[in-house]
Amino acid sequence: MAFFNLSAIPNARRSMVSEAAINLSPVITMGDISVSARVGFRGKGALNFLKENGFSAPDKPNQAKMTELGICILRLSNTEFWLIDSSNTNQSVIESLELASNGQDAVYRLYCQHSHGAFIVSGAPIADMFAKICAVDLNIDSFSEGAIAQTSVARVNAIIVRMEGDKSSTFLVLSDSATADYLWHSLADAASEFV
Amino acid sequence: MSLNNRLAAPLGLYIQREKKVTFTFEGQEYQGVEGDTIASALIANNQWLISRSFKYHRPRGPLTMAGQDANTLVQLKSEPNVLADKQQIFRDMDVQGQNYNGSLENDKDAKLGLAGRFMPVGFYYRAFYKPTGIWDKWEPFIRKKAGLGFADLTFKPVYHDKAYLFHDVAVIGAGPAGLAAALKAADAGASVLLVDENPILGGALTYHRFDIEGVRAQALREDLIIKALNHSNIQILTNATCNGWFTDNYLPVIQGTRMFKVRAKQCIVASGAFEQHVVFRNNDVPGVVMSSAAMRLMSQYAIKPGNKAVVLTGNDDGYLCALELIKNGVEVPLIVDMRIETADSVLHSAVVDKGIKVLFNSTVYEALPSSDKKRLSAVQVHSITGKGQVSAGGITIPCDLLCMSAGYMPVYQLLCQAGAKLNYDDDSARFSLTNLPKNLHIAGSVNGIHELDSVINDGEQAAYKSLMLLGLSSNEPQVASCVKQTNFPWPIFKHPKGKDFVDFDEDLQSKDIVNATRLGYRDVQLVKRFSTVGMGPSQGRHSALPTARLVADATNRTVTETGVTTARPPFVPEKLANIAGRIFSPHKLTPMHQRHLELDAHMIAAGIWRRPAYYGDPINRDNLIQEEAKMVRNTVGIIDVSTLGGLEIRGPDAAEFVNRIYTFGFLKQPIGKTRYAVLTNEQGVVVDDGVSCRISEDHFYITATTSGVDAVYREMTKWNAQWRLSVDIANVTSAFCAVNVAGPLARKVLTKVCSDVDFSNESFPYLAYREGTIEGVPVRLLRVGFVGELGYEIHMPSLFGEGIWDLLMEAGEEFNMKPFGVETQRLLRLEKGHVIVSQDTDGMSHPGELSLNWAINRKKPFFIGSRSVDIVMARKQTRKLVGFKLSAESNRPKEGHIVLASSSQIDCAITGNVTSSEYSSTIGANIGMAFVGIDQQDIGSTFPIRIDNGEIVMAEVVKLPFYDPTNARQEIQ
Repeated sequence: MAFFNLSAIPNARRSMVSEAAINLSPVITMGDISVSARVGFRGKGALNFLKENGFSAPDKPNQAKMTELGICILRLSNTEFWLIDSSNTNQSVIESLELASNGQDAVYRLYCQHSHGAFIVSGAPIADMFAKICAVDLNIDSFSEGAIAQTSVARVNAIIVRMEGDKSSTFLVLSDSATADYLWHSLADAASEFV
Repeated sequence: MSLNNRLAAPLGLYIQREKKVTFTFEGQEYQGVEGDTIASALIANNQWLISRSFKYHRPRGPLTMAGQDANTLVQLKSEPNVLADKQQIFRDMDVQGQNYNGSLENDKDAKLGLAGRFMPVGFYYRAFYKPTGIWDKWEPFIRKKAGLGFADLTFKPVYHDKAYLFHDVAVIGAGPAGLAAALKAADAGASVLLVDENPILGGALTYHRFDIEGVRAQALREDLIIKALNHSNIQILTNATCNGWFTDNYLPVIQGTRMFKVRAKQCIVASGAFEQHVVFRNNDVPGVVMSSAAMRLMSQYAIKPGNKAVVLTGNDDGYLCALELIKNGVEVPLIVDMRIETADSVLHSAVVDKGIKVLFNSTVYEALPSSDKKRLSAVQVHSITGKGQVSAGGITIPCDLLCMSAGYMPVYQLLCQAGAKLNYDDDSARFSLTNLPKNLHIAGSVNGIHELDSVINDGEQAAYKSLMLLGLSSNEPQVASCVKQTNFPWPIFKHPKGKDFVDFDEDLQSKDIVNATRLGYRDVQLVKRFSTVGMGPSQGRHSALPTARLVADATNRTVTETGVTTARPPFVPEKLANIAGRIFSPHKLTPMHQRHLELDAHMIAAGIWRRPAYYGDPINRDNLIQEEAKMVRNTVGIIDVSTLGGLEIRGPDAAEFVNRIYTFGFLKQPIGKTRYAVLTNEQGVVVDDGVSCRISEDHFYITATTSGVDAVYREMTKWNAQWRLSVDIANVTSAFCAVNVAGPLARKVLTKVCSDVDFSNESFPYLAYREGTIEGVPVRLLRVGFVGELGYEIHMPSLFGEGIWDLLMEAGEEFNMKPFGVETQRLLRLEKGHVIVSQDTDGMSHPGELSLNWAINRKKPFFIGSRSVDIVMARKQTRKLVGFKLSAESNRPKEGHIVLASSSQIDCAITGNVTSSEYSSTIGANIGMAFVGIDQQDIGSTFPIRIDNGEIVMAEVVKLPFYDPTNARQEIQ
């Protein structure tokens, strides 16, 4: 069987969130980046594979770092890495990397492009907002830039990343694509009180 | 009614007197001001009668003015049992009294008090059930009388939610100790949460008089509050109640419609102390209040609580109360001091200078109500002659207010929930709390410290301990100590005529408690359960101590030996809405969900998923299902099967892994082929099934049931943690969506959209697996026969799902292809005799019962459950899953209806149950599957099914499948 290219035809991707860009709060903004390019790799050879392809991953699990290209590299375990192109400007880089993984020993391409919805949530009171739906302390003192929490948000599994740089009050949220619509509305509901 | 007894500013900390608020109570309009509670606004209007007592329907008015008693329970339009001394008024609020028959003013059930001697404690345990059958007569009456208030069944739920808070230190109680603790901790750099149940900070500083001049509290309060409010390290929650303590300082704090779930590294409980009442006859008459209640009325609400007051005290605080009353224009003719002499001679001189007479070694023995019983008119004062004994005679002092101060009991509830032990010194009548868990501290009056400077010191000491545990540096404060005697040891004066209440909530008198011990209930826990003392809304805040004293005295033990009853959360009654919070109901949608809605699908829950049951109005359910089934049988239909579980097994050991997991043989499964995969558990029970697709030597894509995939994935990862095979296991359920295009014309539809795959029978035979593209989108194609027709499952990356659906719908238009739902699919697969695991199986179903012997590979050395499967299948079988048929005219059994051993014997054994049942227009009969007894499985025999209303129908066992037994439909060209 031919290699099954998950990064194919990006223009045909459709988000599963039914209503985009609800602005219920003037101080919290939410963006649906589910159709932006991303790819994941797992396996004992994944770290070396990324290095060989010019990507320097965080040193330890549950950390994220931003590349010069603007691709966020998530290290979710010792051997699992996701690359998120939140600005959706690096489709070709992501696709090339996915294709390069074909046939590599101990490198298993993951399906996060399609298995997960992805949101960018920003705003000064973001930790307070998430405290309504998530049991992890996401205040900056406990959850610093580049930190990752693999946890439950509004009763669904989610990966929360505090983005680096001047967006320190910005979270990247990844969650099961089948519950993306539900989670989007739960986040919007939680944000609505912040005015 | 207008305001008529408000005191001048600066009194009235809680109110904004310029903002008038009109509300109704018992249908009459009243005016209060913003910040008033219902009770304070009513008292401002001289309305002291607010509620009726639980058992005897006695008139009741405020006792604590702190929301700590049940004397002020009222009914709001949509909420019963509201604490009138806690709930603030708002415009047009409609308040009613509750627990009365007739009106609050004229309660017909008030005469129950006259029959009190016939209703001793526990009488209901011994009445109402004899003679036999009498309960049926009593029950309607008791049900009518039982309960407090009315639930508004038209009430629309209000939004409630929860939020976490994370802090280094949580301080519960913002009185002087709590404020001092919070400030010290915050100054050292700790993140502090300060919680108080009142609208403004200060605790006792907001109402208590700490010095003869009455100036200290205000100055100190203002100083502490300004510092706390302006401190960047302190988060303040007012009107918030910490309602429990759970391990590791997990604290539920309720503020309005939100429950905060606080996680604190350190917790300081500075919850204060509850003032205790004196037990004497008619101590519940409206106008008999705690001293602190009178002080709250004056200081917090600027209300003159009476015209003529008597103070009954067992400590110096009563004197301070008397001074405050005098200052605010209340005549105080007498302080009745239960002690032999006052502790503070200066204080004594101060009250005497104000013209107040002090009677030592005396008590109020009886409160005398007004002629209408609704307000205090006088008190009967007697000398104390011994423990609980008084002299004959006595004097009568007219008054409309009696302020009681028998002492204080620490607010120990949160601490005892944490495992602390409450100790009582019988000689000094002092309490102490010991055995606190690590990271939990106490400060202030809850710690037995009552002198103001010591209280501040104690707060700082608790903060220091917290800071040390947090690793933050700070100066060690002086250890606090306190010699102030606050508790009178025996403030209980039983009266021969009774109505000397120990527990106001439950109308329990002192004799009720003593009688309980005489009946053999010597343990205070048993006394509680027998008498219900402490089981009312105030949860023993005022009854626990007198009960312990009475039980100790009656059983010749000390109070320490007797103890108090267990304190459990919640601290105050909490609404279920607070516990529930915002209701999160996660659900999964397929990528084609919007399309289903546009096509008028009737959506149903399938586990966590939402799936179309069929398309159209549910009123036409049966017809719609039959029409959809006919379409699939005759032309072509499409169904969204995205909810199917998807698992990827990749790696050098992939085949070995799959071979160990599933019952069939997979080592030699050819690439490009699918194979039925049955999963048994270690008990040999069939727990899931699916289709295994071999994509390459080291790559399998396996489907699983919608509801079972997560468990299968867990099992797989669990097993490989032991096996250590070189595989990667991925749950790709959400990564792939899928549709099944099924029917004789399915190939024609697929050929139109997928040009790089040869769909002919020869190139793409039944049970084959192929990959291709549709408009550039990579897709996986499985040739399946689940619904018994030529069919192709198309599995594609989820973000492409909606687009591919649109393309397929367009391609199918010329063949009149329409979507069909899961209910139709269930009928079609039933006709084909395919089992749905979990619908047609249960927790005991082994492969033999399901006729799945063919799916078990007995040659391979191992699969999960292999040993158990061998054992259970070697045993004599007791039941079998069979297909059955009834005529179309017969009443159709429903899933779950039971199969009987005999149609004629009423008490015969149940041998099985119906697992699937539907009318099939294709077969022209009602068909189904059912577990039957092993002797009922013969083809052509009949067995009885008990359906609705007890009717018995006889079903005929038929050979499966019902439809296309030769599989000819798969050969369609």
